[in-house]
Amino acid sequence: MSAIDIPAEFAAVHDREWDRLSRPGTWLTGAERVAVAAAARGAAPSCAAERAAAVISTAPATITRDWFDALLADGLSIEQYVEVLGIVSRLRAVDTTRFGLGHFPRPLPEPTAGDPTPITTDAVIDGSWIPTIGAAFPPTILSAVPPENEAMFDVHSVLYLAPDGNQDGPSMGNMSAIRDGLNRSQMEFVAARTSLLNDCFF
Amino acid sequence: MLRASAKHHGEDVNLLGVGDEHLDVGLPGGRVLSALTEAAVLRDSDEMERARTQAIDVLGVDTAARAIQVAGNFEMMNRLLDAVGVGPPDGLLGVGDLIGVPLPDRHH
Repeated sequence: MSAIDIPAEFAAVHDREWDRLSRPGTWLTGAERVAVAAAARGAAPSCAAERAAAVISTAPATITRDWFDALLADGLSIEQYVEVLGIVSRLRAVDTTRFGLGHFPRPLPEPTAGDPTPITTDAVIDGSWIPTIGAAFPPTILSAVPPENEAMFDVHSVLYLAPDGNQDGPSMGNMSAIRDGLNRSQMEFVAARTSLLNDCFF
Repeated sequence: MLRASAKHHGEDVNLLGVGDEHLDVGLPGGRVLSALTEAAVLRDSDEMERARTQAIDVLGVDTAARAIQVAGNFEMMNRLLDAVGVGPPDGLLGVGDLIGVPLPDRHH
């Protein structure tokens, strides 16, 4: 059986993700962001951000507080860690999707020159190791670096459901949501199996 | 969320099918969704081809593609949670018994 054609909506979000990845971010340059993505795909890491990327991508269930603290001691800021986490988690989403559909990973983009644009927020520690705006739960994990959180919402909305409480349309608040023939319970079964296979028990 | 969705729709779901691939969760296409998800998440190239073909046969190409995208989404969400020390809410630790997999209490 041949591969499944790339769905148009997925192709579009992948284009947006590659554009985000290539450009200077909030705390990392475009070159640093692309290098983080390369490390997540198996390139030899050469700094704390890239070491973080490799583990987040391939062995997230092994991550401990001590490992996290060691990265900070090695010079990685918490905000940089949040940015790395955003990049790697979205990369994993698009790479797994392409693999599942039967396509090779898309080559990483060429980085765009320029400096990061730092953004300071009122995020505080509230239920996790990193500061968040509001208690730490899925929609707030990346909130200390707003562009990363917005990017996560973008990918989440295209691949699964919009992370909001709307009771109509493709939103998490709609318990009767159906996308491309996949009903909500089937979606949640796939979600639960994925989480179990990743040893993630939220 | 699976439990909540099944309750909302009055579906008789066997949650042990989440933890044991050999058990039927009781949803349409449950077995092929399980195999499709496992092959994608574990990046098993040989199994992926077979699982994708079965999923297309049983569910149709668009539904199979959507299931793969949902798995991709949770690859992202799992990393967000595991990388910052967020574990299951205390009130949900009992769900482990329902799916046949003890849940670790990462809060303590």
